[in-house]
Amino acid sequence: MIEVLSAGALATVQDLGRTGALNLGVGTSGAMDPLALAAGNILLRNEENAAALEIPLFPFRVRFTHSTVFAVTGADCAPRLDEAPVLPWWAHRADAGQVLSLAVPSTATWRASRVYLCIAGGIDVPSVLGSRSTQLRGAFGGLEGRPLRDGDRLPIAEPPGRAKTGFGITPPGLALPLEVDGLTAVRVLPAAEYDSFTPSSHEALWSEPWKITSQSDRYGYRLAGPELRPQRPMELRSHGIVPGVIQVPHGGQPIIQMRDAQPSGGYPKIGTVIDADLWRLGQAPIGSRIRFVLCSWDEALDASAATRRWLSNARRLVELYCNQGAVR
Amino acid sequence: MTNPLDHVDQLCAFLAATDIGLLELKGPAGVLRLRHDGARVEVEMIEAATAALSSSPTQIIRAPVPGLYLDRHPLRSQPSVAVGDEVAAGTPLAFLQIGPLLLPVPAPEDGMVVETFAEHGATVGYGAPLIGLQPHGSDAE
Repeated sequence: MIEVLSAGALATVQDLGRTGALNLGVGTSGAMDPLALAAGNILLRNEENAAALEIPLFPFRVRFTHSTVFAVTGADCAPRLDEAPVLPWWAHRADAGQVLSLAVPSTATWRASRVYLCIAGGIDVPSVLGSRSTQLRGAFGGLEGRPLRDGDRLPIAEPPGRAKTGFGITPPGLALPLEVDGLTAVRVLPAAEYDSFTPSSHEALWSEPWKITSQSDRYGYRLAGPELRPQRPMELRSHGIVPGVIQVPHGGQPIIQMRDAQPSGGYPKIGTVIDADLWRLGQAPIGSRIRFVLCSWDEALDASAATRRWLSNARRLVELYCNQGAVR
Repeated sequence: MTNPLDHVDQLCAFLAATDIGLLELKGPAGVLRLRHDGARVEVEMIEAATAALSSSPTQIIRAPVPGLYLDRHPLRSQPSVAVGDEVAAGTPLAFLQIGPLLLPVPAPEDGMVVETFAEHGATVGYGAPLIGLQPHGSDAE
C-alpha cells in the first residue's frame, strides 16, 4: 500500500492506455509519457503496461506502508526518501514507513514536466475495459475515476520478487532527441483537411514555433501562434478522432488532442502528431514552444520501430544484468 | 632484480604510447606511480618510509565492467562527487553506461574522494582506474 500525503493536483493512476474501446466512445487515457512509464516498468521487471502514478504538479509526497521497490522516472524532480536524495530513473527499496518527496522538476538537462512513480508489481486498482488508467471524462478506471487526494491509499500488486535495486536506466528522451532550432519538435502527418488550408497556413504550420498555452492538459493542448486559415469556411460532421490529431477551430489557433481526448470531434484537422512522438508533447511544459516537422507514413512507422527497439534493448539488458548479476 | 627507478624514463615512454592512465609499481623501496593524462606522464615516487606512515593508502576504485564513464547522472548537470568530498559506503560516486543500462560505481567504504582518473563521457575498459578514495579508519585494524 502507498499512502498519499500530499497529492499536488491532477495526479492520476495510469498505464499504457485503454486501447480498443474507441468504438464504444471510450477514449484511450494512459500515460502522457508512455516511454517513461514503460522504461520504469522495465527497470523494475514489471510488465511494461503495469500501472503507475502520473504526477504533473508538485510537491508530491507518499508514504510506503510496506517495504517497496520503486523507481521515479520522467522529469527529474530531485526525489528524496525521507531526507536523503535518491537518484531518478533508478531502482530503490523503501522501508515500511519511509516517505518519498518529489519537488518541482528541474529542466536544466531535459525540458520535461511529468513524473512517474513506478512500483514493483504495479498499482493494483481494478482493470476496467482492459486498463487501469484513470478515465477522467467518464470518471472510471484508476482510483475511483478521479485524480488522487491527500489521504488516498493505493494498493500494490504482490510483486513477483524479481525486482533488483541499485541500478538505473537512462531516460529514453535523451537517447531519442528531436529538436528544431533548439525547440522540442514532433513529427506530423498531414490530416484529411490539410489541403483545404491556405498555403500561408501550411507555411506557418511547419516553420513557426507554437506555444503550449496554459489552457492545456491531459485532454488537449491549445497552442498559440500564427492564425491558420482554411481556404473557405468548413463545416464538418463529428467524426472519430484519436490522440495526436491537430484540430483547427474557427479562431485559427490549433488544438492537439492528448490522451484524454474525446473520441469524436468536428473541427477540421490539419495534421496528426505521430504516435511515436506523443510522449514528447506529454513532457513539454506549459509555456514552452514546440515545432512541427512534416513526416511521411514510412517515417512514422520507422519512428515507432525505433522506440520499440529502444525498449526491447533496455528490457534485454536489464534482464541480462539482473539474471547474471554481472557486477558487484 | 633491477630497481625500477633505473628505468623510469623508459617506462614513461612506454606509457605515453598507450591509453593506460595509471601505472603503479610497489616494491620494498616504496611506490612508483606514473600518471598519464594523454599528453604527458607525471612521475611520483613515494618512499617506503612515507608509504608506511600514510595510515590509509588511497584505494583505487576500478571499472567493474567496460562502459561509458559518467561522472554524473545523465539528468544532472553537476558531477556526483568532487575531490575532497566525504562519501559513505555504497554511495554511487559515478556511473557506467552500457546502452540504456546505468550501473553505479559505488564507494566500497566510507572515505574521502582524493582523485578522479576518467573523463566524463569516456569509454573505459574493465579494470580502468576511475576514482581514488582515501578510506576512513583503515588504520583502526
